Amino acid sequence: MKKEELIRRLESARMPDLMVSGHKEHLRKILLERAAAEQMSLVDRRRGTKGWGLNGFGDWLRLPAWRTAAASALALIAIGVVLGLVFYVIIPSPAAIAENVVKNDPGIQHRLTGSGEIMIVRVEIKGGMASVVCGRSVGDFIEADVDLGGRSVVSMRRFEAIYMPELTAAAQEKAVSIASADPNVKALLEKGGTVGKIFPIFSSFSGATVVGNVLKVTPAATLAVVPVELDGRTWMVEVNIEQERTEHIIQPQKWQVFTVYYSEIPL
Amino acid sequence: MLRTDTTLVADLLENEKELVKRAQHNREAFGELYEINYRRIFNYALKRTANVQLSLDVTSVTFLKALSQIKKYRWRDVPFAAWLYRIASNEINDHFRREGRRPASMEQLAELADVHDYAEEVNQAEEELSRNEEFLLLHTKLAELPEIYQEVIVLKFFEKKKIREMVEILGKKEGTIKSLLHRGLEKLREKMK
Repeated sequence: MKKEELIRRLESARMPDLMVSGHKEHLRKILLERAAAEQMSLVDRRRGTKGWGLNGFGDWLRLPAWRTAAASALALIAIGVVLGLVFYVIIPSPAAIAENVVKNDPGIQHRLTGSGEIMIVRVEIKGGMASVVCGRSVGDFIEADVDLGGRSVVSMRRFEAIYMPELTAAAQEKAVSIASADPNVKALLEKGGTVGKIFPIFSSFSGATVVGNVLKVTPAATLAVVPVELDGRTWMVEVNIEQERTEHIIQPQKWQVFTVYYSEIPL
Repeated sequence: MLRTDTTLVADLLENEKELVKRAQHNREAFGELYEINYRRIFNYALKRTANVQLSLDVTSVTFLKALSQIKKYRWRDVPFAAWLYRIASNEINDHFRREGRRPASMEQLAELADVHDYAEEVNQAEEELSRNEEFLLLHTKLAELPEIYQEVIVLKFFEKKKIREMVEILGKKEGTIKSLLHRGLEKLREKMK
């Protein structure tokens, strides 16, 4: 049989058009009785309900549409606020988890030589893992792989080379000038103290680029350290060049010298 | 002034909208909706099942459900009947899925079945149905197809519904319905060989 013929048969077949009047009347009676009973029940419930009080979910469904919509909207807003708190306050973001794991990992703390607190330079999330570059304000940098699910450092590596901006000659001169204005530094210099190699320290980083085993960091805030040497001892004078003031003078102690400073070379 | 079909349909829809709105709080208005739609829902069930008693049950459940849900019904500028067709379709499909056993919703019809005094009328309706030989032949073949194909073919060819109405009744996209119709007809053609 062709499709057209089938369609013709379907369209032209005489269809039953029946009626069972007894059923229709009987069903109508039952429907109207039920509708009446429901209306009475609703009236009774409303009489026994004050204001916004509800006696169960059935009453909720029977509320006028605008009340149901308003109550639903309020409930949704409340749920949204709670979820927001859960997600943004109680549940930290993957990047925050990775930072926390790295900062508290004993292996990182041991291997990240230098001084100052561990600073997070860059975090990259890849699936359930995070790649975190961290370092100290004076010292080394490490890249760590963090298992976010297990909340642990699974591997770490050092960089073969680290590039960061060195202080320009003009900045060094200005740093010495600012430090020399400090009465304590001035006294040291008057006693014959000499200025050593000036170097920067970084209190925060705005970013980092990793290419192979080479790291290039971009500091966000830089201080200049002016070492003042006298009688075999060294005072470290931290100078804020931008604000033209001496921030801090570190008294002589057993210093470990780090040689991780390189001139900035584009990668 | 001559009125176009479009404005006439729009007026009818607007009237029905008002009636549905009243029926959400007024049993007499629901009674009007029942009067308007009873026959078409019963005959739709009949065309799907070719069984008078089952069609009566489907019709009863459809209107009982409509009564219990009408307060939640939202007007969408389509005839109210589309919603009733949808309820009826779901009931019929539920019946077939249970391999002929009555769905739980129909078990509640005892109060209707036990006290009815229209048994003779049902017998007459069954006799009348048996005289629709071409329909019964087509239905026998149609009944061998999966429910979804039965549904679209009955709505399109037996109920003469437009695709746009079928979209509302079945809750499926136009393209899906056309595709189901095409495949359904192919399958039915195979059965008719």
